[in-house]
Amino acid sequence: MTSPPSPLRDVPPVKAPLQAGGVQLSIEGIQQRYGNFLALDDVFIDIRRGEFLTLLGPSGSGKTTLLMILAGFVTPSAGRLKSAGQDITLRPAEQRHYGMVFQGYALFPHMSVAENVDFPLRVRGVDRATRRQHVARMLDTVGLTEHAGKKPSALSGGQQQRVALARALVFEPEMLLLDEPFSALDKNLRGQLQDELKRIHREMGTTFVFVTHDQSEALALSSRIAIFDHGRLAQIDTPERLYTSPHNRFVAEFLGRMNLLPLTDVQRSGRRVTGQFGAAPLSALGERHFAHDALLIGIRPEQLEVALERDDASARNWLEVTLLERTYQGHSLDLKFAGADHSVLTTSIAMTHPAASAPLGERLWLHWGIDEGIVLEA
Amino acid sequence: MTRMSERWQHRLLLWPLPAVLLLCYVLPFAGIAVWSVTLPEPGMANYARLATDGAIHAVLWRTLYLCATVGVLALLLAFLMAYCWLYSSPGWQRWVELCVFLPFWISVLVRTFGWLIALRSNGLVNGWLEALGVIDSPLALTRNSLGVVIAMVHFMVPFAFFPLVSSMRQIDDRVLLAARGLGASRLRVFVSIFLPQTLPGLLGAFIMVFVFCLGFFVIPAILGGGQTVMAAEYVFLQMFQTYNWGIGAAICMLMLVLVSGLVWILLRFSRVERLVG
Repeated sequence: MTSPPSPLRDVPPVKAPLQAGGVQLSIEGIQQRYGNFLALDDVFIDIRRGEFLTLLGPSGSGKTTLLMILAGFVTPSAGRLKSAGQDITLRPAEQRHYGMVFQGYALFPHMSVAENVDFPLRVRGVDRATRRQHVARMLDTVGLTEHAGKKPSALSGGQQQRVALARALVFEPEMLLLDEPFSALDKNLRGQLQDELKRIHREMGTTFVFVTHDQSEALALSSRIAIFDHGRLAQIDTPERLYTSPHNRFVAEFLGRMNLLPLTDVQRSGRRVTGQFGAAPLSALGERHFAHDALLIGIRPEQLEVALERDDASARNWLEVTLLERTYQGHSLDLKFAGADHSVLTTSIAMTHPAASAPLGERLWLHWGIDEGIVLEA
Repeated sequence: MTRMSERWQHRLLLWPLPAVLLLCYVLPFAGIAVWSVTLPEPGMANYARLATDGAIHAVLWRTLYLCATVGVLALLLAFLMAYCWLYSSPGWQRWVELCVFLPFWISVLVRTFGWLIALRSNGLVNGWLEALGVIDSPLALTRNSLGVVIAMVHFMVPFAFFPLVSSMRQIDDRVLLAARGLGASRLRVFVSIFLPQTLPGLLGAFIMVFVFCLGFFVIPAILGGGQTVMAAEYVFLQMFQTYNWGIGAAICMLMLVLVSGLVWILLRFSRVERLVG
C-alpha cells in the first residue's frame, strides 16, 4: 500500500524555507523519568521542516513533557535532540529561538498588546524602526491592530490567544511550539482560531509542533500526528493513514470511533485473515506480521452498511445483529446494535434508509467489504 | 416584623466600630486641630512659625530623610528575603516565615534596649570587632542616626516582607517561562518581567514602612540619645518639656496631611487587598 499525500502538503508554504520537508529536529531516544514514573519512554521522532506536527494523547501520556523538552524548559533523563547535526539537548530555552504558545497564554500582564509582541524583538536588540514594522505587521496578521494599546486583561480569551500567537511568531522562530492553545475557548471560537492557525502556518511556512488531547482538532490541523500512550509513541503518520490503518488497538480507538470484533479460529492465507465472530465467518486483509493469534477485526461505523435481508450473492462480510438503540441526530440516525458475545456495534444511517423505521429489537444485517476492515492485535 | 427586627439587630451589631473610631480618633484629633489654632492665643501664629523656624525644619527633614532611608533599606532586605522565600522548598519557607515573625512577639522596647546593648561603645559588636583586631577604637554606632536606622530597619522588615511575598506569589510562573522561551536571559526576565510585576507591592510596602516610621518615638529616643530627634520625639518635647502645646499640635496636623497624601497614593496605585491577600 502506498501512502496517500497529506492534505496540507499539497499547499506549499508561500515563503518556502530552505530544504522544505527535510529533517529539522531529531528526537532521539528521549526518556523522562520522575522518580519511578516514566513520563516518556524512548521516543524517536524526526520533525520535518515546515510541517504541522501534532502530539496527541490522553492526559498523562507525556505529550506536554515532550513539548517542554523541545522548548528547553525540561532536561530529559536520557536521549538527545539534534538540530542541523548539533546536539541541542542542553541548550537553554532562550538560545533555541523557538516560539512558544502556552496553555493560558502567559501574556505579560504589565505590558500592552504591542509591548507583548515587541518583547522578543527587544531582547534580541532589534532596532526600533524594524521592531515597529514587524509588530505592526504581526498585529495585522492576527487582526489586533486596533487593540495594540490595550492591556491583556482588557481582551477576550480569543484575543489574548491571538496576542500569544503574534508574540511567539514575530521574531520568525525556527519552530513554533503550542501547548493546548485552544483548550480554554468555546467551540465556535476554537473552530475560527483553528482556521486562522492553519492560514498562518501556510503563510509563514514555520514548523509547528502542537500539543492537544482533542482528536478532531488534531485531524483538522495536522500534516502529521504523533499519538502518545503512557509515555510511548504509539504511532506517527498522516491523519488519513492513522485513521485508515492504525497499527494497534489504542490508536484505532483513540482516533475516531471503531467497532472491534474479536476473532476465534483465526486462519491466514497470504494477507487474508479469516476467523469466526460468533457464528459468522469474517475476513479482512492484514498488512503486517502478527505475533499472536488473538486478533480483532476493526471496522469504522461509516463503513458499515445496514440491510434488512442478507444478500448471499455478494462476497462481503455479513453479520446478523439486533437493534438496541436509535438516536435521532437531525440529518441522520445513530444506531446501536448487539452482536455476538455481548459485543456492541454502532453506525449511522440516513433518515431515508429503509432500516430507519425498524423497531428496537429487530433483527438486521450489517455488511462490509473484505478489504475495508483492518486487522489488529487484541 | 422579624425582618425589621433583624435589620435593627444588624445595625446594633455594627454601631460599636464607628462609635469607637469617633471616640478614640475623631474627637482627640479635633482637639489637636483646635489647639493648633488657639494655643497660646487664637490665630495662625503656630503655622507661621512652622513655615519659618529652622530648628523645626531640621527635625522634619531629618524625619523624612531617616524614614526614606529606613524604607529603602527595609525594602531591599525584605525583597531579598521574599525572593528567597518564593524559590525555596515549603520547609524552608516555614523557617523564613518563623524568622520574620519571631521579632514580632518581642516588645519594641526590649528590642531597642537589645540593640543598645549590642551597638553601644562597649557593646557586643564593638567588643567582637576589637577582639578580632578589625578596629582599634569603638565605632560610633549609637547616639547617632546609624543606630536609629539599624534598629528601625530591623523593626520594619516584616512589614515590608509580607506585602512583597503576597505580590510575588501572584506572578504566574508560566509568564516567566514564556519570557525565557522568547529569548530573554534570566537577568532580563527578572528586570523586565518579574520586577515590574512586583512594583505595586514595592510601592505599597514602602509607603507602609514610611508612614509607620514617621511616628517612631522609642527607637530614636533611646538609640539617638538626643542627637537624632525625630518628629514624634520633638512633638513630645514641645508639649511636655517646653509646654508649647500649640506648636506641637501644628506639627501633628502637618504630619497628618502628609500621611493622608501618602495613603491616598497607596490606595490609588496599589490595590491594598492584594498586599494583604
